[in-house]
Parts: sequence; structure tokens; C-alpha cells
Amino acid sequence: MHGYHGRILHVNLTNGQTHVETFDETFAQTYLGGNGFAIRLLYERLAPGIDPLAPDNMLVFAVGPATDTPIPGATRCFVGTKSPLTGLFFDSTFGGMFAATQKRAGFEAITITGRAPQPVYLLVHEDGAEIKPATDLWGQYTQATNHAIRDREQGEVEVLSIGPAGENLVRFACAVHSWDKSRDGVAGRGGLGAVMGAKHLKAVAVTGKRKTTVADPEAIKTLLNDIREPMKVGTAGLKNYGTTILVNVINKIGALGVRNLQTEYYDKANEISGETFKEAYFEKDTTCFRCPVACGKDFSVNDGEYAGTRWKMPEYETIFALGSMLDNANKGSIVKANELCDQFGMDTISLGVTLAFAFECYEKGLLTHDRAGRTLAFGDYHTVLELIEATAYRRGLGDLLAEGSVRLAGQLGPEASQYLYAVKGLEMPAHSARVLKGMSIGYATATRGGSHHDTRPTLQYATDHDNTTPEGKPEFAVKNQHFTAVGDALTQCRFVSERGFGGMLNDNYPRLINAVTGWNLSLADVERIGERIWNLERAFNVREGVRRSQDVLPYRVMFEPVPEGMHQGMHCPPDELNAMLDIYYALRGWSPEGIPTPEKLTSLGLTEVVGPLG
Amino acid sequence: MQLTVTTIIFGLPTGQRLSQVFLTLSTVTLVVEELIAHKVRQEVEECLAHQRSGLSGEYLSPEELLRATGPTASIMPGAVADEISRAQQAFAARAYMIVVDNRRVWTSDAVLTLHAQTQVEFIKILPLVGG
Repeated sequence: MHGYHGRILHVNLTNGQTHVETFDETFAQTYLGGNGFAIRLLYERLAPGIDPLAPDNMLVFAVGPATDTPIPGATRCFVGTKSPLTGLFFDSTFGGMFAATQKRAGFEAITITGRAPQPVYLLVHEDGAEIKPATDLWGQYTQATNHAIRDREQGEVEVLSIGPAGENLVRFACAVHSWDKSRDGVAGRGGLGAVMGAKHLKAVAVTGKRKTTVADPEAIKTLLNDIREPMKVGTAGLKNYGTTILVNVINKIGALGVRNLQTEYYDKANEISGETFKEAYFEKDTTCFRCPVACGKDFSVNDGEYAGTRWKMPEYETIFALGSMLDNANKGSIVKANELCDQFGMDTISLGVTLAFAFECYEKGLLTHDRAGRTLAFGDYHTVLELIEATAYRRGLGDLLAEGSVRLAGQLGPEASQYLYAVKGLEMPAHSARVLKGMSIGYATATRGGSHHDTRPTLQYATDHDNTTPEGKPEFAVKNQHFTAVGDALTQCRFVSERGFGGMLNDNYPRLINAVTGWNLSLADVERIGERIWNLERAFNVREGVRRSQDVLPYRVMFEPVPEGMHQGMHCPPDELNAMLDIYYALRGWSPEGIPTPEKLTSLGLTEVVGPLG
Repeated sequence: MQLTVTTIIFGLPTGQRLSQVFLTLSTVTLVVEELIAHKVRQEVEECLAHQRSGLSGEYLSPEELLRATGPTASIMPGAVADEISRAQQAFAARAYMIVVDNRRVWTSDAVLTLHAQTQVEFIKILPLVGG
């Protein structure tokens, strides 16, 4: 089977047992890989209603057919699980070298269940896996852990580990992969680091030398020739600045969240822009395996209080969450905060947005000084840095912050929920739900919750895209969600896929899949795979209780218009959201409550997989 | 009246680029299409008079703009009428946007009433990826 080794490794940490399962071409054609494999395995093997931090929860590490082939950007590894932050299906991805190495171990998917009696790490190799003691690594930062395991294994191993935050079950704990040859990767969102921590799983290491064969190398060569120029043009700014190049442009259009979304124009944006960061701190470019873009940058802070800090560039989302959302224009402190979050193992978006929420609640008197144990003020980056550590170790206020903003709101009374910026429990990223109508419906219906990787903002920033009207946005969201589902099944980097292969599904995608696998899929077939994966993710969430009433936006997005800037007055009131949801559900073939109908499931071949819903 | 028009190109490999052109208008009321014509005519004339090194570029294609971002590269105009026509067509195709006093103007026939403090921006966003 070209593109696949056809093996899934199952590991139970409770009893230490592992076994290898094979899959056939039908399974591969139905779910492709990545999140497709992850949701299929999770749906089948997780009982509804389980506690995400219980041993029964499962982690799925999955790659796809294009992983470790000449296809650029197929470098992401997918980690699927039931999220301790949302209680729903979640998949988070990371770049670097891990995915290719997992593929070389010969496993398209690795499932991990149970809870080890003591801290362990998992070493996956071509013959299976070994569970190894990690008691001495418990408490270590991520980078030190990754290096220690790599040294211990004395080979070509790639490692992903959690830090203290995951061990302490911070609900938005992440996992970090240090690829010393170039770009590190962070599986940031959804709290999978806490799931690892709950399993006493400090790290996963992979090693192997198996080669992935492709069916038609010439067809791949032709395809890569065809996408070279659009990718070069479309990533020119990204290549030089990384995602930080978005700060100035998004601020200019009045869509950069400031002070917990109290406004969306930051008068100090240029102080934390990509241009300013690069001029001040740039050290070198970094890249994931076989990626021609090299959007990663390493920074070296050479001025101010944080001089001497050397760490990877904070991404645009991090600059939003730990910068403008907190009214923090001290660029050195943002690099430092990024380092701390990576070392402790915490998602910068959820952390920063939770802090911004807490700061506003303090401002409004909903979070008292006594309860906070300190003064909280926007712009006070010293407090931000202290609270990052306090959160990772669940000390004082950090213990509340570690639960995420929605659970924190539950502690502060009903008024507090007006200041949340989260969907389905997941704090939202830096692409305005008020200004970009496609994101309004996209966030509301995202299977991950407040994520910009279910419906993408990329095409919505183009000047030929009219953000001011809800017209056409449900259609946009549906189509774009199929694109992200297929992209995630192919484990493609979003940047390479959007700008090289195209930001919506098009003929390049069946060309890619067919060239790797030797199949003969049409564009309609590929669209159907995306739809199938999306419906299965939704079915998982429906099984956990999600209905139309959860497909909702934050109070501020629905009731408080943007107060200034180019998009002053924009928001997404409930009537508008409901009208978009009606159209969206109809397009999807779901009931008015947002439940996939039996007819829809049958048409996607999911009836037996899903069983009765609703 | 005197009017300053600022052009901002976002997403270049060299970061954002700002340039300005100063217009003298005989009327305070004009449609967008006329504003584009005034702006482009002024730029072209300044280029031909060697008062500026090249077009600000909002109506050029991403490929043309990227070719022109080298240390000495610049884009010199063709005939005025051709450049104006091209700029107007690019606006109609939404290849860039015009923002007047922080509000986007969507159509070529929109009527603008200008005053001394009016801020006019032509904004080009090169292909980006959304974080």
C-alpha cells in the first residue's frame, strides 16, 4: 500500500501491554490519516461521558499518507483526544521532525490508554513500543526532558514531552517537541498535555528507518512544479517574518483583540509587530522537515529586562494573547512569556486569553483583590510572567487560572460570563469573531470550539472577501471545514497547503493523494472524505451532549459592537448567528438542533460507525 | 483643496511599506473613480519627473510587487491613461481597498465629500496565512 505502512500501535499504560493492529486500503481510503484516523479510533473506543483525565481516555498520535514523502509541508503530527478543556473531541498538531520519524517507525497511528503506576515515557520503534521509567524526569521542563530522552536513547529519536503544567493537570497544558536541527513543534491547544500528565506519561519518543513508498514520483514532481510559484508568492512575507507579519495588517483593519477584546485596535501594535520583532531580535530562520518556507525564527533578546533570553519567535497568536490582549507592548516580555509557556508546557492562547479575562474581571470588581491575592492590571507584564509560573504549578490564583477561563467564570458569578472569549470551553485565537463573519459561523460550529483551524481566516483577510455581510458565510464555512478536515487527514501544514495547493479543496488535492497512493480519487471523493471526517467529529460531540445551543458565540461578540477602527460597529448578534446556523445545518444535512441525520450518516457510510444519535 | 493619500502595502518580504502622494483637488466632492484617477496621475507624473522612485503599487499583482522589493528595484509606470484604467479595474476587482476616515469604500461610484482632515488610504494586502 503506497503511502502507508498499514499499522496501528495500541499501548495500554496501566498493564504495560502493547499490540499492533493492521488496517487495509478501505480503511485508509475512508479516513485518509491524521485526524481522520484519530476521530475514527476515538469514536469507536471511547465510551461517551468519560472524564478526559481518567485512564480510559485515549491519545491518538496520527500521521498521513503524504508524511515522509517528497510532498512539502506534510510534516504535522496529529494528537487526538477528548479534551479536558472542552470535554469534546480535540486534535492538536505540531511540526518539526516527529511526524516523519513516527512514520519511519512504521505506524500511521499510535493509541495510548490507561495510566502508568509511575511516571514513564514511551519509546516507539519499528517492532512496537517500550514503556520506560521517567520518575527522574518528572518535574523537568520540556526542553530538558526532550534532550535527556534523546541522550538516553543514543539514537535518532524524536521526542514530544510535557512540562510541569501537564503534570499538574493544567487544563490547557500542551506538549512540546524539540527538534534540535531546526524548528520546534508545539501541540498547543485543547489540553492534551494534561491528558498525558493524567496518564503519568512524560513523553513519547519515536525512532525508525522504514521508507514510505509513493505510487507515482513523476506525478508528484509535476504537482510540485505546479504549486511552486503560488507557494513562493503566497508565503513571501511569511518566509521573512513568520506569522508575526500579521500583527500590523490585522491591527490596521481593526481586528486585533486588545484588553480582552474591549477594543480591536491597538495603538501600540507596531511595538510588537513582526517588523519590529525581526529588526530587534532575529537570530535565524528555522523550518520543519522538508519545508521550503521556513516560517520559524529563533530570537535573541538583546535589550531591556529580558536581555539574554534566547527562544523561538512568539507566533502571531501568542503576540495577541500575551501582548495586545493584556495591553502588553513590552516585546522582550512576550518572548520571555513564550519561553516560559513552552518550558512549562502551556498553550499560550488559552493562557493569555484566560489572563485577559481575569484582568477584566478584576477591573470590573468581579475578581476581588483578596481572591486574586494581588493587584491585576492590564499592561503589567511582570504580573503576567509571575502568573504563568503560578498557573503551571497551580499556586494561588494560578490554581484557578489553570482551569481555563470558562471554569474560572463559573467561580466569579453570572456577570463574569459576559467577558469570556471562548467557544465550547476553548479560548479563542486572534482572528476576530466580530469582524470576520466567516469566523463567526466558523467558530460557532467548529468541532474543536474556539479554534482557527476548523474554519480558516486566511481567505477572509483578502480584500476581495466581503466580511461585512453574513451572506455566503455558512457556505464558506462548510467548504472550508472540508478543506481543513482533509488537510488535517493529510497532516499538511496549513500555510503550505493554503498557499501552495489552495485554500479550498481543488484538483491539487486528489492529484496529491493519487500520486502518493496510486488511487484514482476525484475531487468529489476527496470532498466526501472531508465531510465524513467532519460529521464523525460532530457525532462525537453530539454524543457528548452538544446541540444547537452550544453552537454559540461569546456574549461580547454577539452584543458589544467593535467600538472603534475600520470595522467599528461590527458584531454578530444572535439573530444573525441563528440565521447562519439554519443555513449551515441545512447545507450539512443536519437537524435544526445540529444533529447529523440518519440519511446524512448513511450517505457518508457512517451509519454503523456512529450508531443512533440524538 | 489639499489631500494626502497614503498607500500601505502589507505582506511584502520587506514588511509593510508606506508611501504618500499629495493631491491638489479643485473640488471637495468627487467619486471614488475620480479619486483613483487623481492619485495615479499624480504618482505617474512624479515618477516621470524623477520625484519618486516608482509607483506605490496597490493595483499591481503580487508577482509584480514581489519582483520590485529588491534593494534597488522599483516599478516605473506606463502611459497615464493605461495606469489609471488599470488602477480602476483593480479596485473594481477588489485587488486593493480604499479607506476614507477609517471606513472602507466599496464601489467606484461612491461619492466622497472631503475636508481638510480627511484621511485617505489605499491598502493592498498581499497573500497572507491566517496564523
